[in-house]
Amino acid sequence: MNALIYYAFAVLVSLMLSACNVAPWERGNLAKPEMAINPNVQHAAFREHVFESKEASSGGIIGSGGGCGCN
Amino acid sequence: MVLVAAVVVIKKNKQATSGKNALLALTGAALSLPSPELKADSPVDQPQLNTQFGYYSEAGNRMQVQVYHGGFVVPVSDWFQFSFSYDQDTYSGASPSYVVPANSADIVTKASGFDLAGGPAFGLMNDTILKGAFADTAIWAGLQADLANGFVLPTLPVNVAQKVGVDPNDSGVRMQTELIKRYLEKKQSGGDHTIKQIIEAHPLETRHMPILKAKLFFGPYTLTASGGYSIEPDYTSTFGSTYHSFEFNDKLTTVTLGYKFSNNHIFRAAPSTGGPHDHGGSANDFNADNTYRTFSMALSQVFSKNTLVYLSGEYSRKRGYLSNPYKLVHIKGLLSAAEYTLVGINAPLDLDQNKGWKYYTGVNLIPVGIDLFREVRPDKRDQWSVTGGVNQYFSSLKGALHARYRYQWDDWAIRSHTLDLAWYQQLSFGLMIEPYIRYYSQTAADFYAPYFLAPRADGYYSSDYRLSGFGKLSGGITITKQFVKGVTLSAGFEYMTQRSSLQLDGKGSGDFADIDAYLLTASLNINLSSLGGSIDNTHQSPRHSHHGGPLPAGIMEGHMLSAGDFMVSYNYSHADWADGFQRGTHSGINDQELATSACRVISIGCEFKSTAMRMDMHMINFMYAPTDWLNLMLMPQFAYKKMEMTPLPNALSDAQGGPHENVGLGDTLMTALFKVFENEHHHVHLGIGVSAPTGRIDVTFDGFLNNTSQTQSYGMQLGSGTWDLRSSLTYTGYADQWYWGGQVSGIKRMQSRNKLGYALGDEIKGSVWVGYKATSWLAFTLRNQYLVQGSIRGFSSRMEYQPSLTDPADTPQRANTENPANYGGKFWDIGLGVTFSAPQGEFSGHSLSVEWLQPVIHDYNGYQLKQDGTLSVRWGYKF
Repeated sequence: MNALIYYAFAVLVSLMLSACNVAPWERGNLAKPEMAINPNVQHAAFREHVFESKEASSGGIIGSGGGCGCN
Repeated sequence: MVLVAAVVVIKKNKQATSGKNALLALTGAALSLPSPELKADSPVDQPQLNTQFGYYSEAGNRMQVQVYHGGFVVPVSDWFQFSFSYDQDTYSGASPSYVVPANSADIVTKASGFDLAGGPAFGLMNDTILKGAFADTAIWAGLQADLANGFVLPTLPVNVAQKVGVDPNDSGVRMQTELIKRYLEKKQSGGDHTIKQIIEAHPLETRHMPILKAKLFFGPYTLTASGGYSIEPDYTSTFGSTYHSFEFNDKLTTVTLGYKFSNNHIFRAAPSTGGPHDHGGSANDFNADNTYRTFSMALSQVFSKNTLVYLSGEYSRKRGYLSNPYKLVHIKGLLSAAEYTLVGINAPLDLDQNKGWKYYTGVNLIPVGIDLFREVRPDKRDQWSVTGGVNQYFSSLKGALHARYRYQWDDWAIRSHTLDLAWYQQLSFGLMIEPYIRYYSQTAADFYAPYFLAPRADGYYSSDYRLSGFGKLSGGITITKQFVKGVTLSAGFEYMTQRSSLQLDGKGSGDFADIDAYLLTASLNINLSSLGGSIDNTHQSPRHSHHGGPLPAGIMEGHMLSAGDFMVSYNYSHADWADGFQRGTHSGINDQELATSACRVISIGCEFKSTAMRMDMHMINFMYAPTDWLNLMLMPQFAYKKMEMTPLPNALSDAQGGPHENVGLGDTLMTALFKVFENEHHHVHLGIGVSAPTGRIDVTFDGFLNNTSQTQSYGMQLGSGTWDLRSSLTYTGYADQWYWGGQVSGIKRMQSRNKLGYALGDEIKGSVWVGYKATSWLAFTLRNQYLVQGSIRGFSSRMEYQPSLTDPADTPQRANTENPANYGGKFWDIGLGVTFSAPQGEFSGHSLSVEWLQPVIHDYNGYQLKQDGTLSVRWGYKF
């Protein structure tokens, strides 16, 4: 599994570095709210806290603060 | 990076098109608030306010969680942004505690005398064993017969017996041991018991979490720092984080380094008797700490004009107490019958039980029943994760696809895969819909099993279903409506199915982790400065929302909006009752009179009195005017109530006073306002609405939401429990700087009894007021209010739980607050108010009103605490 991760990582990074140039006036679509990493931050934070409380995994993208609430 | 791009685009647009679209685009971009962990961004342009309500519910009456979130973001300067948020979660319901294997059910369930919440290892062990073993006459008779036939009782393990201080040859203890041995053998063989998961109820708990956050922008470098605190009865957490983002490659690439920490303190409350007036609180019988540290690195890259990709890695280091203090494990063979007998029954009771069992037996687990122990997990956990994602915009569809995958692994042998797919579709009228699905799969921790038939070599055990192997599939939809003037409303629903059989490799077994649940969310985001006004101010000036001047803060439904207008107001009221008792209009009531007269005398009269009560109401009022003659209002309410009780002379000698409190969603009001008459100086409108019983009326003293725990008194509950009709008639008028008005409003309970068998009294209230506008931004009001409130009809069947009583009217009352006759009355108050409003400028549309309502004459029904007064505050914002 780890080999697969390293491979995926290498492919992704090389893809990123080969990205073509995007001029500032071509970034209109990227500026749209739906293209943000998390268009609805609060909603995502609530879901993340639920998943964190009910699953054995956590983190990765959003830090949802601390606390437990995890019966 | 994306937001920087947004500004660029807007500047470009501004030259070519009207400013309106540019500003709208800017608003949208600013509201999106990308996650700081992955990307740099620029400060918001306006102060923003956000609120969210969330509800999570598991099938089968398991956990239910209500989440309230509020926060704001303030751009202090073009390089510094400050934000604050506050979360409050309320938890109730039940969750799995442990699993018992086949043939063992009877010796570990509550039927055997075991108490989960406290589980004192010595006293209850004694009861558990003896009750079972000595009650079994067949075992006793069999042992007697064997002894008569020459059976010799085995001697006791010398080392344990010596530590306990028992003679290894003591015939009495040897007899006990043999009885218990036979009892265990009998229980563990034969029978038709099936494997079962024991679900334990948890008391209602509330968690509070304030978070402060600052962002500093220095060209291509962004620093984010945050800190917060989370507190709930059995867990406190102090946490903080810092993120450093660098943009380069013509702002197409961002690298972010992050560090998070949290220091956590875990408690476990000792069992409380949970009686109706056991206000002594409960002590903690367990304290532990742990520390989490997380290091992360993320890279995001604009790949094309429609594609954004990102990759992040995270390492999380957890140290300290990582077990769950409430979860138990069933382990066979860890302790022998002799050890249960010697330590559980014959060891000195005054020893520290946490060390006691280990000292005597060498077993490092804490027994709470026969073959039942508190779980133990390793005190370290190292967790790694890799996350990759892509956001792809499709111009032809005007929609965006988000795909994200996370792989996580740790040194507990848990491996998990998480795949998220979401589609964001922009529609007309500022609507956006987001359907999404999520798949999650994890393998089990290496020390997890539903139960253990033999001890493990490493000494780690957990039967927490969250550490088992399972998969989860969930899907949901979010609908967001962006209003023109910077207001965004959003609502979402998600359903999740968790099954062992959904685990990725299909190895999941058993159904211990199986559960269905759903999520509901509703949120509101507002740009606080009047961006809308600046867009539209060439077309129209802000219209007058009501005649003459701002209303006193304590007046609801007092004005109407013009067609097309939308208003949000936040109303807060605070009231205290603490200044002794009153009967009718008479004060100076002594304890003896309360004891003999404040409760309906059935047995010994009142044993407790309330000494103080506090009530805080938070109400959010959404108001919309489809036409000039009709306005619609929706008002969810949120309440916090606290009461102090103290024993009266009649009380039993061991009675304890103390506080109890209650917090949560109250009843929800829905009202329509109809314009009846209007000319230049006078206006009359009628309000007709209902109050939906969304507030709980069954909140208990011990927090358990079951039918046997005793409920808090009528005034402490969060709702009426009935559908109520609410009507009002309002007149307002003005001349020059003066304005005035009057309102008559009423509440009629539309059901004669709620589900618990009572109904709050009806109400009718009359107010007249006069106001003076001193300046364009400052006004004063003077108000006279008279309120008549009926006493409670019927009687709660849950106030004093007595299953043997079939007629609730026979239920004894032990406190003044439990007598329905001690509610309502006639109340005359005078109110002084002040309003600050912004007629123009950056904060046009905002107003803040404050009013103090001072009692003049209060004529109470029965015996009641005197009210000190009521403070009302209203912040309103009209769009």
